Amino acid sequence: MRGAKLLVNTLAEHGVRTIFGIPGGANLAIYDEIGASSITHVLTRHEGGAAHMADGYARVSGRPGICLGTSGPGATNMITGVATAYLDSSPVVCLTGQVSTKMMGNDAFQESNTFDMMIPVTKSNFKVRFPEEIPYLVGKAFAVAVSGRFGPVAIDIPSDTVANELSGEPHLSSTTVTAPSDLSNLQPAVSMLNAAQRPAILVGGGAKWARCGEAVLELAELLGAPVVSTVMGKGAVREDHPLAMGTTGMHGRRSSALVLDEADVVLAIATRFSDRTTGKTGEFLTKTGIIHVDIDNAEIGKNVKNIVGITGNCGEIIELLKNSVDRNTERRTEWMTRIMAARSFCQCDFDINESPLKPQKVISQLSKMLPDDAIITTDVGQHQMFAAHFFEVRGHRRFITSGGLGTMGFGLPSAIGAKVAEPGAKVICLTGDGGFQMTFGEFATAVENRIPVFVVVMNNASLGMIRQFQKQFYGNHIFAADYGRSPDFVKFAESMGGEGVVVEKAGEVAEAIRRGLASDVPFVADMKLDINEDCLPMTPPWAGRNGTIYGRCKWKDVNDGQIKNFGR
Amino acid sequence: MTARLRISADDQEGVLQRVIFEFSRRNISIEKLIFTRGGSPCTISVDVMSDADAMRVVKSIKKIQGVLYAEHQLEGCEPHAGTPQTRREMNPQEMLG
Ligand SMILES: Cc1ncc(C[n+]2csc(CCOP(=O)(O)OP(=O)(O)O)c2C)c(N)n1
Ligand SMILES: [Mg+2]
Repeated sequence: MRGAKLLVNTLAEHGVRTIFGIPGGANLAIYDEIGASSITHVLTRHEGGAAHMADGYARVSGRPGICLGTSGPGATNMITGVATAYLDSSPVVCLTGQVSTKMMGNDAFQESNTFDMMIPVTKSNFKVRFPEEIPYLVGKAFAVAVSGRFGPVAIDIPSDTVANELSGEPHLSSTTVTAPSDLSNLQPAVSMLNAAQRPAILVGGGAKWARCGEAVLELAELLGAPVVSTVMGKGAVREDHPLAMGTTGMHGRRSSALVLDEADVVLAIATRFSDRTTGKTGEFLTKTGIIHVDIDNAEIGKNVKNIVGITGNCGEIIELLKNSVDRNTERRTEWMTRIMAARSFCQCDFDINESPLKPQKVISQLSKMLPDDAIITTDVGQHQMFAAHFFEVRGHRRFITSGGLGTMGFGLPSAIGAKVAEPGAKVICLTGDGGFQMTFGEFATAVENRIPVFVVVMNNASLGMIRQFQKQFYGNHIFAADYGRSPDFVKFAESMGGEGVVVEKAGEVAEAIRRGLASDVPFVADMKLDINEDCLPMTPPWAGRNGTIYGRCKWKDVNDGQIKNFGR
Repeated sequence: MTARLRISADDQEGVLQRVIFEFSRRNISIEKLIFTRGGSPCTISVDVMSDADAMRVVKSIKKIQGVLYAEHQLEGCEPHAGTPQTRREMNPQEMLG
């Protein structure tokens, strides 16, 4: 048997059903075997797309997503996608072709030092030295990717190791990777929660990977604690629950910031306390007792000091806490009333049906119309933050976004990967006109492979977030932010065998969404938005809560005195 | 005064690079590094400028696949890592991204 067959067999044994990738000289032997196997291959238009697809697949299925590229440019094209997966803890297994071991080190054609380049963007990575070790390395890669804090793993595969026959017995892997846990602070944490007058919970992205949202809500009900989420944590708990406050952070809800500010104990679950979440560190939870639960011990104490840390699987730790804390809602009635008042106060203070079309209208219509098991992926920019703020992840909806690396171009390919993982779900990619153009070649991939994703292009004819920053923080010097010209996105979709519709008025939004959801081919709704609508509220990182720019948010007129009386 | 980290790791390909990259990822400069191999495990000893730097990186070194052991001797240090250097005295525009 040759190495390539052993590789493909091993992947199939690990449950791989789909590989996203592009062939090249250095990985053709692998392609030869994939073609003869039961594994489906999705031929992408760019290797970056393949990496994001594998990432989207992993985020929906919870299992490793596989991407495959050739050596040199194939590998370097995947780095952004792998780095995106790394910062959002997604178990992507990235396979790269490499020049033969007999040529490596000589700057051969399409040789790049992929092994070293992948180090800072992967949890671990391997280089195959001889064909017999393929099953061992693949086994190890899969084990590492889904152990402890999930993350991407790369395997660099020189062409001779797959093109040649095995000369010995394959090395098998029985690797299990255990993540260390430290529960020594469990009891102090229980005491803190029991003694708290105003407990609150902050959930981060890790809670999604642990799929512990329901347990978090049960704990919140026991404690009488509101649940605030980071952008990465959005969707960990269903937002139609009365204790779910929505997102906090730079573009988060004032009501979420308020409950964190006023809480005396915050239970932070699987969050890295990113600067986008904490804002001005001098004002973030300064007088609050913080319990930090994370599977990654290195996160504990990294960005926020003076915490009570518990290391381990957060699903298991939440169960332990649920079984140990006192039911205390009665004692916290006043707190609950205040939370409810803040939650229901959080509204926009304008008519969202105004013309020109407003992004808030599109998001709220999507919120109303998407099925309860829909998957929404976003790109990066204003539309992403509008969605994080306004879209309601209720029921079994999923919200997938590049929160860590903030990678434009992530939206469409990750939606394709998500749809492959769960073909029965409606998958909506919410993208910007900028982000869409970064990877819209993958629309052809979607059409060709019959992957009917619904692309909602939030078309404000600009790099809206950049424009907003230039307006607000660079003296209104708008430069290199507006697009003089963009393709006609509907014609673009049609030229590839998809369909689409242009939307210019609020009254047309619902019909466009209805068509997009019903379409059995990939569909684009080109939402022509008001270029001047800023994504607000926004709290600049240096400003603290008194520096929030509210825009149309109802909180803008509420002074500190009124806030004190809120819900009292 | 410098602080020292002692690390031992499986002698697998890339482990030295991963350790070095972890310092640059955390924006910590290496003052001195000694790498010794000769059978598994290999040892890496790294000197950095301060205890705070060493404390900031030691947990992330420990979680590198293949690292068996990493330790920094604590002598009269605060129990938690300090605010990263990169957070201090920032011009507002630096903080946007
Ligand atoms: C690959 C990449 N390049 C640049 C940026 C910086 N950036 C952040 S948001 C943004 C504008 C995005 O524009 P668009 O996709 O149209 O979304 P909008 O903000 O208009 O909703 C840019 C350029 C980025 N996040 N990713
Ligand atoms: Mg735009």
